Amino acid sequence: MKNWKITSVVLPAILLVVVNIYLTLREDSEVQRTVYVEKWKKAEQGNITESFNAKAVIKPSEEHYVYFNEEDKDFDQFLVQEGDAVSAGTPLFEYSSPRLEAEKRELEAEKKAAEGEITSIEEQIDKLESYQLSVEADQPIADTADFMDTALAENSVEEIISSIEQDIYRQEYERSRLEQKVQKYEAQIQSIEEQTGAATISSEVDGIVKQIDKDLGNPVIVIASNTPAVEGYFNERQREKASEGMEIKVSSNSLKKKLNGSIQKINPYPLEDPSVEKESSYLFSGVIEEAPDRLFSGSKVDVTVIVDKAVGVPVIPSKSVHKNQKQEYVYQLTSAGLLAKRSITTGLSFHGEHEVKKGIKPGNTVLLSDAPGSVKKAPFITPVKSLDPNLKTMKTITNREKLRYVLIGVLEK
Amino acid sequence: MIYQVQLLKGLFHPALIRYQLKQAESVKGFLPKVIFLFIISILLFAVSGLFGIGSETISKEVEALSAAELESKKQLFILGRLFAGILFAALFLFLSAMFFWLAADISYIKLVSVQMIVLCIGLFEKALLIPISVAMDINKDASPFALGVIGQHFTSNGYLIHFLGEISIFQVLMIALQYYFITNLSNKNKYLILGTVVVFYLLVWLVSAFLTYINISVIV
Repeated sequence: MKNWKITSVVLPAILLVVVNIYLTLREDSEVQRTVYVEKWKKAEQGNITESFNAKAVIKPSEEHYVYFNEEDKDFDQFLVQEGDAVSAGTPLFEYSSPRLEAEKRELEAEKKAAEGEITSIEEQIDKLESYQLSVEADQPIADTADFMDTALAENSVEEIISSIEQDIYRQEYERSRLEQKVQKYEAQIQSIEEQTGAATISSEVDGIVKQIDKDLGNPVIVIASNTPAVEGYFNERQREKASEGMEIKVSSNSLKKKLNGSIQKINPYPLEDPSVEKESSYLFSGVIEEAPDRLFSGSKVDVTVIVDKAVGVPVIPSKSVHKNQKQEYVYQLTSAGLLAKRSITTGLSFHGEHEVKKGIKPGNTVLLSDAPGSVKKAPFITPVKSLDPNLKTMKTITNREKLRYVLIGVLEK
Repeated sequence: MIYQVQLLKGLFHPALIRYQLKQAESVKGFLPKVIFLFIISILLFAVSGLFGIGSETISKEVEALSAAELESKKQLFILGRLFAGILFAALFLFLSAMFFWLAADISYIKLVSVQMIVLCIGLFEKALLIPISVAMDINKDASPFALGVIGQHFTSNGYLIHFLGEISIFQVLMIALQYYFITNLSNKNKYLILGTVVVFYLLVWLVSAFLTYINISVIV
């Protein structure tokens, strides 16, 4: 009897509890909730940098090759040694061209010969001209008795003069021909002189002479320029993320601060033949902006490649971001005192932090602990995080306010 | 005979205790048990406050305040909760005993002894609600033991919902136990006693709901 009585009481009680729980926790519950917020964080204005690290070594960035064309030239001597520092314009080596010299001498000889001929022609012309003059002067004044003889004599004098003149013209023509030849020789000599004028080759860049080939195999001189650079290897994952032009930061134990630089080149082909078993390595090289003193070729450095950067954006912990199908959202603790579901658009994320493009501003507070299932908007409570009384803050609360908060504690509202 | 205050026995073997109480001329072991109940009450309210239960008006300021400011205000809140613990036990034990003492002619101390047993159930309900509020993200209005949840589906009147939230399984049990002891101890009409007890609890619920309903900021 009594059991029946008890059951008739207990069963409805259990039923009530079950119904209440169901009504409270179901998806579209209308029951007023108060969310227990255990952890929360304010969104801050910050930066997110996605990066990865690789090991690299310092190398001179460019090598300049100097070549020597042996044809028609004789090498004289090197003017620098391996290890010398050179700057643009420093002479590197001397050479001479013997065949051209010989040609030049030939031409000069011919020119001289021609000039000699010209001189003798001019002498000849002089002689003819003076003969011409003397012939004209010698002409006597004829009397009438010897009319016939004078006429004959005049004719023969004219004939002589004209033949002299013809001779003169011929000589002058010959002279001008030779003069032209001389000019031609002069021009040729000049052009040869221009070719043989550069007897030294100078450096085009600043740097250090890295290598000299004493056997004159080309390139005869290799100059390493002063701008330092880094070289290293990326593995496959890093290769995917990196691209030429990306900002890098170089650091090492001997450097006081990190150096800025950028990736100059990434080899599209791996170092070794591609193989399924082995991890592929891709050579990359980058330049450094400022050349510090204590960085030697060959020193090992760490390179941080900055894949992407978001500067001065609202940053929230990744744990506070939830995703429902396509839409990302957070739970914001609003200034109205409600926990509200807020849709957001995120950007870059790295290392447990997310950039927020839309929806949350710096200073907004987001829920960090677990999301309360079906709640869209509700008041919330927060546990006491510290019982350590902060006297400084307590002083800022007026006595009237203090009373108010104590009363809230008494009446639980 | 002397009645030894025994709380657990009073809960699980009420018949025995009822008999003892009726027969007893004096009550022993009263003070330690009273102090014990006060301590339990204070502890429960403190723990409830540490979880922030009931701190909606303070927690609401989390966006505007610094961490130090928020915690300081919550510390004041805890202080209030401690007071509430004391008040709760004191009122439940002594004020209600006085009410019944006026209604039924039983010795005051015997009535307080009864209240002590009944208080245990009240404290148990409060203790149960702490983990439930935290785990289910609810407040007292949505207690699974009470009528608040159902009430929320029928009305939007805040006060009414608070009131319905006060009526819980445990409260009914307390009424039953209260009635059980007092009718036996008194020689008044049992329906009168029942009416008195019910009226008392109704008053308690009405006042309690009212206190939840008002906004402290308006007053202070």
